[in-house]
Amino acid sequence: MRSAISLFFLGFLGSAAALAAATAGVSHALREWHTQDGLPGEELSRVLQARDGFLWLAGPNGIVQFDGARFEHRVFSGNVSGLPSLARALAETPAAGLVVAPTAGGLQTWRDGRFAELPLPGAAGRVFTVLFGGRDGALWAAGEDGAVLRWDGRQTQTFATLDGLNGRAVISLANDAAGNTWLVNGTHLYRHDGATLAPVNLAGPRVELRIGSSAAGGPWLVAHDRLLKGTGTGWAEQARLPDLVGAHHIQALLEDRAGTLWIGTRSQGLFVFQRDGLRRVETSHDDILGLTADADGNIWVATNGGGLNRLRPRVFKVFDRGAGLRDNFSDTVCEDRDGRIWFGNRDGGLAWLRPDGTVAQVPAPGAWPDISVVSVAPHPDGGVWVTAGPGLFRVDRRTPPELVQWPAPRLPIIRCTLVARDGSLWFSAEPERIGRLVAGRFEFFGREAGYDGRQIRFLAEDPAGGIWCGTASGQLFRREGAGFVRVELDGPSGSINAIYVEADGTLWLGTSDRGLLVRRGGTWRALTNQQGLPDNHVTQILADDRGNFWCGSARGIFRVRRSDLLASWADPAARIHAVLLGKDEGLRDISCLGFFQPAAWRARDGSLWFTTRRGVLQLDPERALPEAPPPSVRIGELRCDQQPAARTAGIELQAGFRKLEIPFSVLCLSTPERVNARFRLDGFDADWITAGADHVATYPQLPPGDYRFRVVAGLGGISGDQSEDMLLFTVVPLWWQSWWLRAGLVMVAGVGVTWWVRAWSHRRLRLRLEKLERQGAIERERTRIAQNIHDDLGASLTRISLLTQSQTGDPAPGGLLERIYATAVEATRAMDEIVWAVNPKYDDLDSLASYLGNFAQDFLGAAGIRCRLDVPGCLPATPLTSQIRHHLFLCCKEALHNVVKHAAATEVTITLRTEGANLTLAITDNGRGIPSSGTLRDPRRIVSGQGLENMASRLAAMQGRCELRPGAGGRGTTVVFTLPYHFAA
Amino acid sequence: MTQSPARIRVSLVDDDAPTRRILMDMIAGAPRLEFASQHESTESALGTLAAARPDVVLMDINVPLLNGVECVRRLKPKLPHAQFLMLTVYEDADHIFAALAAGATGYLLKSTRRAELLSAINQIMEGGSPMSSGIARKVVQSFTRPAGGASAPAGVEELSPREQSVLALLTQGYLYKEIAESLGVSVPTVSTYIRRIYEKLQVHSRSQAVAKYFRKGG
Repeated sequence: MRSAISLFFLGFLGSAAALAAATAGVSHALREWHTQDGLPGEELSRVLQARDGFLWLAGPNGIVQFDGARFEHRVFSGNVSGLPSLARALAETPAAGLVVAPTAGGLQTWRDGRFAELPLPGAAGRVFTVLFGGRDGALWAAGEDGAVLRWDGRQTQTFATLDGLNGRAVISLANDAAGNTWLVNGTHLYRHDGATLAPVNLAGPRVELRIGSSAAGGPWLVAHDRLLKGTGTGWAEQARLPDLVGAHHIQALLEDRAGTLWIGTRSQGLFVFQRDGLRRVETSHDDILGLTADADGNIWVATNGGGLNRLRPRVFKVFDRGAGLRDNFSDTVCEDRDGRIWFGNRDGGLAWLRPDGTVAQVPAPGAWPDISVVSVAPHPDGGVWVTAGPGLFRVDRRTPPELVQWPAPRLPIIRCTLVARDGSLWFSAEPERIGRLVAGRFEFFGREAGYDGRQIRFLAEDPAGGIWCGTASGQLFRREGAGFVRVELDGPSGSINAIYVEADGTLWLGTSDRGLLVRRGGTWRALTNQQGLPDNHVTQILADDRGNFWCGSARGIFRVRRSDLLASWADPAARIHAVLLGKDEGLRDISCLGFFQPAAWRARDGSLWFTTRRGVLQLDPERALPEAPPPSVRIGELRCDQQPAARTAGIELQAGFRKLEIPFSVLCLSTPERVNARFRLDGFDADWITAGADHVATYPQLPPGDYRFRVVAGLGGISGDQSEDMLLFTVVPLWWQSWWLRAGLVMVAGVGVTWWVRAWSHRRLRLRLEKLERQGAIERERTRIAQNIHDDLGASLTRISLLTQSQTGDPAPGGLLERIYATAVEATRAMDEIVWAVNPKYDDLDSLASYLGNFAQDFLGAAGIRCRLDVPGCLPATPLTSQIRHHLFLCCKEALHNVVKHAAATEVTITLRTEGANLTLAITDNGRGIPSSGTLRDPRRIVSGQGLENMASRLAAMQGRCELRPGAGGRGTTVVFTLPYHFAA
Repeated sequence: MTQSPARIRVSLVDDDAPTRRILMDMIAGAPRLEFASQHESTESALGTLAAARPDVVLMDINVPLLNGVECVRRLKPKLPHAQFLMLTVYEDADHIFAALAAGATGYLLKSTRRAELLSAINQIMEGGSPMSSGIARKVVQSFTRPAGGASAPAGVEELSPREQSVLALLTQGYLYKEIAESLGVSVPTVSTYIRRIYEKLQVHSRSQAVAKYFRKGG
């Protein structure tokens, strides 16, 4: 069915021109992705955001899925599975899903993480160049041969016999607000109303046409060099397009959510059409093949040779030379009472922002042609105070502004100015004074007024009207009474660049080395990069209405929540989640200024102004860092030694692989730089691991078992909000890792070890028993010998001695009987000694002490010498071998003999000590001592002579020593036997 | 033969017949001694010795089978007033101490001269007891090293300070005479102290044995 619709042209609408001047266009920040970022090639044909949020790129280098950080190459299946996944066209509809037209023919659809053939009647084997999703849900596909298919999910319509559908002309499709689909084939225009396709006649000569979708009214139409907009009833011309931007050269048309039209051309790059006219937009390449807008309002550009571009509405404006200033350096910025913004431009002097958004220079007074403005501050009566090399100036409210010098005493350069709420002007009067201009009178505060700082960096007024002053050497002063007092910090600090005082008395200092220094309730705390601040050199502090601080730093501007800072102040372990404006916002390598005041300003409309080394930045805090939900996380296909393992329920991996890779995607197209992702393999990782830029977790060989892989991701600066994905998999043991084999091996090993331990302990036990038996046998033998001597010999000797005594009356002295008696007694004693030495019963120190004591008493008693014993009451029950105690006894006996024979002593003391690791036996006499002419020159030396040699050798055999010492006061001698006690053990 | 009440009745226990003979002769020849009985074994002594009512028993410490120490332990309760003098070939401190703890009040070396032997018998009747430094050490150790736990006797405190100092001097090698001089008493007094120490040692040993028994039983 054909329906001809009569259309008429409305003439050029004057209203369009009037609207054009109303607002300056939104500027966009460009970000590019190229092959070095993982893009398969620099040439891209189409770009599309799928409903799941991923960006799809089609081109001669394959079809790629992009999450903002990682490009994932996708492959086709079915008839074209073996071929490279090259595609020219992309579209998505609710019924067909994401559809791709492979260059090899047919259609493929993305389902459950893989491509499958879309079995449309008439589609198989056909090569399609254009795919389009209609607003009514229908899928349109235009073939190389000129045929056009429409599939509404149930049936297919094929349009082949229409006029002009011959395959040679360029086909473009578009939706309008009413749900019609428009089709352009070269110079022909058609409209599909959901049922039939009808040609639409345009007035005038046949020209090349292109059509673009619109959400309001009719579609966009480019007819040769005229840009038209469907009104529903006709066409309204919007603009004339320049040379080489007309229909013939247009390759992509896109209307974004704001109603702005984007025009991609073949050789002239990208244009944006707004009410103020057509504007060219900077891109990485001038051949634009594809355009799409994502859900966040970003414009994505597929270029034929310049990779992928993203255009994001700029959140800031830069006032630099490009904006009309003479120098990129503006040291100060402020807003006056009337809302005009003033720049203290270094070499350009004073400049201001006109209501139309352009920058104007204020001419310098004639006497100083090269005026270098240092500081600007709003005058209470409108206009500004200006300080410059030659002094203080005033600009009033008149337009154009004029600089007038203010009569002032001779002053050095004024770097800092502050206009207090009472209207007085505070300023730095270098080198060592604070100045104030109040009611036309200058006042100065120096040493006499309590201010002894140097080089003022910042002057601040607190909510109560108090004045604060920070210096370059980290001193802080507060106005008190008629002067200033020093406010002590918690320690030495670098320059105080900024001061911000809150109503509750909380004091925030921006320092050059300690980040934000905070005083709250009398407690100072430095919040630094240790807590998560992007940089420790803070130059500016501004507060917005949403509880955030915006700080300038050596690394750029960052936003941080006041509550985060306070939490970190209360607990230094708490993290500060600061967001640095960076690449995602189109800002990079910004370094802030902060040597002059005011270096930052909050305007009454809420915008924030920062001086930086690239110019003055104007930010809208509401738009700069919009809150966004956490990016969605999705774990991809596992790869075992480069081989993909399907992601299905209950994945089983054969153990023995060398490398397992788990890719995952974190979908964030707007601010991928802010994404922080962490992963963890339960069963392997002890803790969360921060993901690198490539978003792949790599693991070595994993032991058989069940594993759980988890990924969480959030946007930096937003604490708490995170999304998560999880994957369970099992590593299946190889045959030789099976439990029965392991159990068998363990058993065999266990039996082996048990057997060995048993054999070893048996052997040890046997040897010990043998040793004990040998010892026991020896002891038994010794006991037996002792017993025999005692019983037999002892009894006989006793009898002999008793026999000599059996005669009544005293035996004659020197008589035979007496001699026999003496001999028998002597023999008894000798026997006694042998028995004592042999019998193991006496193998201890106490026995030695008793025996020796008795012997000495008897022996010395017989010689008429007093015997004194100095022996501890209780001696350690350490065994003392028979050999040692006998040797020791013999040594003592020898020593006692010596005393009796040579010393002429009246008393002998025997001392026994167990000290440390030594046993000491000393025999001290009070006799005549060692003759000085004797052989013993050094009494400490081991001695020889007088039978001492014998003793010394006996002791040496026991690793002991024998010493001879002169007695106290030159009288007497001490013989000391020392032997290591452990040896006695 | 008329018996004078002043005579000391002496019994002999020794397995060696010649020794018994010689000793018997010595005793018989001594003016103040009277031979009471002789026993070649401890069994015979246990059976008949008590009946002989000796004042002094000369007991060989090394009699076979039941030894002299055990024999003293069993006979002493039957003859509480008799003094047991142990005879030994040489001074074996362990044995002698055991005998003293069992109830003996003295000891003699068998090779002692006849005169000394007879005098020792007399002395023991007069309350004197010999104690060498080695024995003294054993006594001190016995009193300071209670064999039992809490129920055991409390050590040296059982001895009087005087007795303690006598013991101390003995262990330091002082002779009776020297002790007497040192403490300013007579030699017999020193002997008396030593006798008392022996008596306390016996009581102490018995209570230790009882304590030991209870510890084992309980």
